Amino acid sequence: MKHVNLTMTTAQIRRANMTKRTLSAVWGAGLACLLLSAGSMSAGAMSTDRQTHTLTVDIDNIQVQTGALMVALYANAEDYAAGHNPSASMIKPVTKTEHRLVFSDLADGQYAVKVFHDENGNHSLDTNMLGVPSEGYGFSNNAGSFGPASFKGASFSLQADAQITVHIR
Amino acid sequence: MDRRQFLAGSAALMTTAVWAISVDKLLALDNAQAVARAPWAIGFNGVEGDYQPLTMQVSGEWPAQLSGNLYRNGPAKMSRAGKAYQHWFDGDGMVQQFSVANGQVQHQAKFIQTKKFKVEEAAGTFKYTTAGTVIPNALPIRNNDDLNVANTSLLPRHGELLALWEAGSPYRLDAQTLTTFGVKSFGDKFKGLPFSAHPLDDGQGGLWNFGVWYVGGEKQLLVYQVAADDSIARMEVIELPQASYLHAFAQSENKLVFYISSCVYEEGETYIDAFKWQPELPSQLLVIDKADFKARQLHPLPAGFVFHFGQAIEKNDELSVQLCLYPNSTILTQGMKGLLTGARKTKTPHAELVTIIVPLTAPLTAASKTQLAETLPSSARINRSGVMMEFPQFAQHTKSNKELAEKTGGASDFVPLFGVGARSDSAINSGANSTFKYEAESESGLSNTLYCIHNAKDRSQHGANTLSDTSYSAFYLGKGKIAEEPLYIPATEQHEAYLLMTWLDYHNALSGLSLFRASDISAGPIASAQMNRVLPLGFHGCFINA
Repeated sequence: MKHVNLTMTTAQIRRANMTKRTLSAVWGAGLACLLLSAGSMSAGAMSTDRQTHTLTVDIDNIQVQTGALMVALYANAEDYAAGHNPSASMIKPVTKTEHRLVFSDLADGQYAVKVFHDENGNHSLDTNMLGVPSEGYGFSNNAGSFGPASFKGASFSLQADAQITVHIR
Repeated sequence: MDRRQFLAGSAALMTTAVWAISVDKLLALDNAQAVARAPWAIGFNGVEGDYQPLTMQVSGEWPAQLSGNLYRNGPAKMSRAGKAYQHWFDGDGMVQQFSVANGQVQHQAKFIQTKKFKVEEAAGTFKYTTAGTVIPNALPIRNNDDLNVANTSLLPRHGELLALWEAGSPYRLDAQTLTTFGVKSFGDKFKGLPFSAHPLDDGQGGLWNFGVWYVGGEKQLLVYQVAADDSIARMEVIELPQASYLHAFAQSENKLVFYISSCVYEEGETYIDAFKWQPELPSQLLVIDKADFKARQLHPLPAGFVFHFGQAIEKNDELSVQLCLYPNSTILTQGMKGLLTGARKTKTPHAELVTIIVPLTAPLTAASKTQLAETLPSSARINRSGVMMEFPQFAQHTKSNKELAEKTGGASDFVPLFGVGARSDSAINSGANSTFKYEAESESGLSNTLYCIHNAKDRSQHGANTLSDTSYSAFYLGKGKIAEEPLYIPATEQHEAYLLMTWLDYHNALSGLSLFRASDISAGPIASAQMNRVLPLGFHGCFINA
């Protein structure tokens, strides 16, 4: 099992987020859509004639033991940004401060993980009027210092079985 | 050359024993407790933990009728595991409580148990990048409140104390035990919104306040009216002409008054570093009608910078507002870093008490949401007092203070204004009506003198920029003392009005507080209390009568 590089690229992310648009819109595209597509598994990642990989996602720093984790794995920037066509997704009821989720049968490729913690079970990421979440979330590479991480910041190359850790923020 | 680069580059060369001593010295530069710190810098060392109750040594005559608690807030955790903060704003908030009763004064203090403080206390190291310091491998944040240090001011509210920051929620505290309850929510829509540290009493049991939102290129001012029941009665999101650093505001009978400074948020390693001095962008006085947040005026002003305001009055179709005006923003961007290094490499200009007068005759028009405000030709006048001072204090015109409002004709005249300034320790014998400039200042560059401005009146009839006829009283604390905010305690049926001011005696490693009669500060304190504790210098406080 190989550890994926978790280096943060905060300066890049900050610059990327400095575009002239409301944060609310950014969150909307980046996170709220996650729920809509969670559970609709795409067959695109399935492959029989090539070796596939297993990705173990450890999610820690879960701050309240209620609701569920909404976890989705994307294979390209467009789907990641839009929250469409996840390569895989899971809904995991929260009972502990950390949970392990295993995604199998993944082809070689670039992937990025989005997690949101629906703490109150209302099936949406609660935010204030500026669009800033009041529920937990996280990204692979633990990318982004404030605001949603880009696919570039959150993506990693999967060429073998791997384990990553996502800290809920 | 950047110090970190220098150290990193040098490390490769430092392989022989000859270099060992130099290495220690160089590395020590990153430690707050290191090298050649000026004696006054003990006020910025921060503290390790809470202070248990201690009875202070009293002197003078503490009035038997004065009974209550002085609470003060300020940054107090300045380093962990050898990593020191670089800006005064960074430190975790701590509440100092001075209990005054029966002529005795007792001190205790507790850190505010913010989410950030608890995470870092458990880890033993800093885990979050703060307003002014980049922390390597910092944890990412969910929202503003993950960085909330609650270190700026304290507001009594519904029997609790609210510890205020300016970029996130208030923290609720027990006023008796200083126990932290958690963040205050004004409702789901308003969770975690920036809530500045200087809310103003709306006279109806509610508050006026504001916050700024500059994330992602926005330049928004959020103006709130918080109702008596702590619901948000009204909120307006106002597009500012520029993303200026805003710390406080003022109110007159019908207006809210903001100083949109020339210190503007752009980009930077930290929040503080992102603020740049842009003198080509004029400062502007933003006047908002309390009855209609959409009715606004902008009055262009020369480039300047402001933290704090005094009074604002409406008289003869003019609005006059007192504020402590800096010629530039180096106090924020450089001065508050120099304080923590203990070496004032950059002497930054001090604030001068000025009165800005703008006409109210132009009809306020309802601006559409896209309009900034009605921008008026430059007709503002600035009356300078010649007194360099900060932390302005005065008797508020509130419902609880009807007597004052009646006596002063319904808030149409300025009442005495108090503040503190840095007066030259060596040239202190100058007369009460002399003027002095910021070059002549105390050893520390920090305040050592209490001021009372008697008639900072509108002298526009005699021409602007009058320096010589400001009438004021002053009391110099003495060499080696630093004065903090002189809190105004309004008169009650039991006692007259007082000023209660904390101070640090850095030569003798003592902290104390002194009580002055508001009617005669030049006579000096009527009572004092001190102790062998070096408290961290702080920002703002409040007094709650017992």
